[in-house]
Amino acid sequence: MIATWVVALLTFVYLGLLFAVARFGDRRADAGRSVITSTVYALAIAVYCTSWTFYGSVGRATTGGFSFLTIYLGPTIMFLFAAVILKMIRVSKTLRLTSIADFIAARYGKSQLLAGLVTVIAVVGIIPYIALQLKAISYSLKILFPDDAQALIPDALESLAFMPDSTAVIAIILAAFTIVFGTRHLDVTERHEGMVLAIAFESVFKLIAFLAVGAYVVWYLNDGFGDLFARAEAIPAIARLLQPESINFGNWFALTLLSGLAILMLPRQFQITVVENVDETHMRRAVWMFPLYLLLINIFVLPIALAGLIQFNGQAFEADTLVLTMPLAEGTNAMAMLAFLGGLSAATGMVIVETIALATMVSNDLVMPILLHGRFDFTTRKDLSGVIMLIRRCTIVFLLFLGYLYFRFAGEAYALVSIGLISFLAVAQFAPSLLGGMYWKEGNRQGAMVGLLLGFAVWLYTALLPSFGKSGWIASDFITQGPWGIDGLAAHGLFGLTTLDPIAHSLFWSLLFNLGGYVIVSMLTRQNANELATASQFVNINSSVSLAPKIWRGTASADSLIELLKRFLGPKQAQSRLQRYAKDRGIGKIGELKADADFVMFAETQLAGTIGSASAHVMVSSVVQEEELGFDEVLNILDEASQVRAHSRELERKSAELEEASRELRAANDKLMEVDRLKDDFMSTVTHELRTPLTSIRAFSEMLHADPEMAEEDRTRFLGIIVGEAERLTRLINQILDFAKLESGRVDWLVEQLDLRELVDETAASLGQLFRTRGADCVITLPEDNLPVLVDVDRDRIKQVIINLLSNAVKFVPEGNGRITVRLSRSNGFAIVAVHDNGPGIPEAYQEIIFERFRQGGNTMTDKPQGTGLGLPISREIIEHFGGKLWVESTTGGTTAAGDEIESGSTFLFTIPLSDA
Amino acid sequence: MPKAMQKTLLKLGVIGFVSLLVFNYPLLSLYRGSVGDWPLLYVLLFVWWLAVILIARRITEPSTSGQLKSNVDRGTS
Repeated sequence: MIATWVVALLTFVYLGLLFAVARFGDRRADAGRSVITSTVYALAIAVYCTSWTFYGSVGRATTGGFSFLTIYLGPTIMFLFAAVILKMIRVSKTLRLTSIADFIAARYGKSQLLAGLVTVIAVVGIIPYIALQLKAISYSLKILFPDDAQALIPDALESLAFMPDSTAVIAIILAAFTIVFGTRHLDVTERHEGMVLAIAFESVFKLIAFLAVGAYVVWYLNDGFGDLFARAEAIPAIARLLQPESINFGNWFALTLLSGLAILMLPRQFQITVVENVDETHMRRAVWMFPLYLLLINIFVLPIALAGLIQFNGQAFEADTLVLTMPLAEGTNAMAMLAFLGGLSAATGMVIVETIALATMVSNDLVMPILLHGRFDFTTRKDLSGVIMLIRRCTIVFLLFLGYLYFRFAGEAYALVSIGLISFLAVAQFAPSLLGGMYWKEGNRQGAMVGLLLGFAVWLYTALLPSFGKSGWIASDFITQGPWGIDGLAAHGLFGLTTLDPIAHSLFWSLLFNLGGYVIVSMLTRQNANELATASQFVNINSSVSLAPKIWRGTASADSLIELLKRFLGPKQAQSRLQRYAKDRGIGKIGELKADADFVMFAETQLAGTIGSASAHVMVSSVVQEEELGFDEVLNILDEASQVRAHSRELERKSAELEEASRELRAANDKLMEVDRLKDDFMSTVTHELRTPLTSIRAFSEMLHADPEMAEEDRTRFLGIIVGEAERLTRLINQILDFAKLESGRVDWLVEQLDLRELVDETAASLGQLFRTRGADCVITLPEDNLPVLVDVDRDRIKQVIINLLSNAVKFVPEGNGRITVRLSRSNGFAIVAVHDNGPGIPEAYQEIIFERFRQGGNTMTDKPQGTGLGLPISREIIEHFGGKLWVESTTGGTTAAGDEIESGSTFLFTIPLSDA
Repeated sequence: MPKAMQKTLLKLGVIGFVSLLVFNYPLLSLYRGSVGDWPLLYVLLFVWWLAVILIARRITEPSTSGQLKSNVDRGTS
């Protein structure tokens, strides 16, 4: 049992620390040194993981196996579609949008009605979710102190009537935090850096706490993952949870999709990911770091669930609080305390950000329109900034109070327990109009309104009301039997669809009705010019450069716009922004500003940051006389636009041509550099090859010169070497010249039609002495038909190739029993000459290398060179010049699998196209 | 939007679609059995998840990855 004062002290120390972190963040921001790095941003997005993750995932895993993971895989996948998130950020920054309601309303002609509807859906869907967080705090306190509901309340205050329980104390502290750090600026688009830093801190804290509890359960209470899994496998009911058979794949996909949409549509996620984003490039880190966070916080969920199931096998236990009860049951109070603070951290983070986001929506899109349109003499006040701030702060208190009331009166009901996914379903209804609005210009206000209303109605009927029915608040027959006994209208089996679980069922029908309504109505109705302009701005935000609407005409007074700004932003703030605006346009005084389209848009955007885009539009419209555009003007604008488009297409074409030319130039340059490198290689190799025989000649000549008394036998041997090396040198130089001529294309080819049969015979005969010296037999096989094998070639060059191949063969056959075969044949319009020898063969690795300049087979460091290394490259050049090919097929010997010996040898083959005649 | 950024977003989108396949039916139904005592489904889900994260990191922060790699190569990391 943990002492009450310890829990109270640590809870207040933790909350105090939260205040300190937020204060530090705000001070740094005020000093111009932002603390919002890409890492802080990514961690703050993890506000997604609430107490529902901290406690509820383990509970879900005990009954659904891996299904809890869908809630985290969906956001992981959605973050990979970062283009969508980036576009949301860009649109919001450009138009200074403050919430998801503002975003949707701004896209569809700044409709106050639409903004109000989105806000109502969000509030109805999210308030119970806030209540769930308060319940988690209350429940964890109840586990720690089963008999003291006022554990966190000092004894002296317990007797006060307004001190209901410890959860209320925490709710009050959270309200204070949210007011202090969430409403620092009147302009919502000015970031709450302290709050974001505190949320990032909470994310780190809850992750550490959960990992610590996980490690404790896996390695302290058990013998590691393997032990837990092995013990789970031994119990069939638990083992079933670990296999794919436990997964309903339809529900799995539905929940992945649902959570993927929720990560974009939940007001708190929109607040952190979009509104609080200070730099678009921070998304680069968030794309992988946020999914990594989700992975880490989930890695111990299943093991903890298994440990609980094994420990309480067959007995009743509270699965949702295993994270807290397991360390507590073992008497490890420090771990239990860490788990409690982790859960508290997860719950408070969510409550703070969600309340700020909802408060912005409620004050801008519900309260402000009522005040601006209502009977209150609101708009005549000189400075409304204080009133607006007060409204927002009161809204925060009101929302937290609503959440607390819901928790108090529905704390144990099914409606609250199941609210996590039901809330996700509610916000998923924003997806068609939000995503459609960003990518489909034709989507319009009527379509969005009908879609949202239909989706919301289906959600109410298939998700929220059934949860009320299961809580016993209303009759529950309609859930399975349908109203008036009509089966097809059953809330969990609408139109006979009974195969999906309730959440997947509700998601399917609500999104189908929502999307269907949005698309069909948008296609049947038309947008006005203003809506069309905003639609274009949203869809083309990545290429749009200016905010000022091109399709606008009206009369306005700069003074009335300035007055309006001063009233809503406060005189000081308005003055500063107007001065900045004037300075950017090279205007010295604010009084000289002209009320053109640009200035009207500026005023509206500045107001949007404070009272929302819809209210801002209404207020600006009240001082601006906007005129409807005539048909001729619209035609002129279209004409101008088409000219701009044509010009842009022309520019694009020229740019593509330039790119192509520069690509060609780059390729040519690369080729030149390669040729230059080859030339350098060639020069260095030639120099090296020439130096070798020269060195030899010089060395032996010097020896002869230095020793006149040298023995006759040595003298003759040395002179023989000198003559041999001189011959090699001459041959080398001739071949280099020959090769250079071939490469440069300066060879005079004397092409004539000749019979290869004669040429092969004649060439082989000319080398007869060489074969005899080496003791080799040369067999010539010619086509049996005795017909001439006619080709159009340069006689001397082809003879040179055959001599090269035969000389090579002679060099490598074994002395005394060499066998060389020359075979001439025809095939597919080509004459084929094959020179085969029974030499040692060429390893596969060298079979292509030997056709490179100065390259020979074998080890060049140890083997004596057998030629100049230019014969084969020259031969290949010649053959390829006449449209043929030269290659080698060779084997180095060995034995077959059957034990037969394979004879080594090489066959050089070349082809020459036969003459047409 | 710069072309390099478009390319990065496109690559991420492709990984997103691949992830949709990897983490859903029918591939998911194939991860049955176990690796030692560990259920194959548990191992593969987390391994694929980590792989997707590492690929996303490689795509979005190539310079950091490169820098880390070169530090490791030099033995300074």
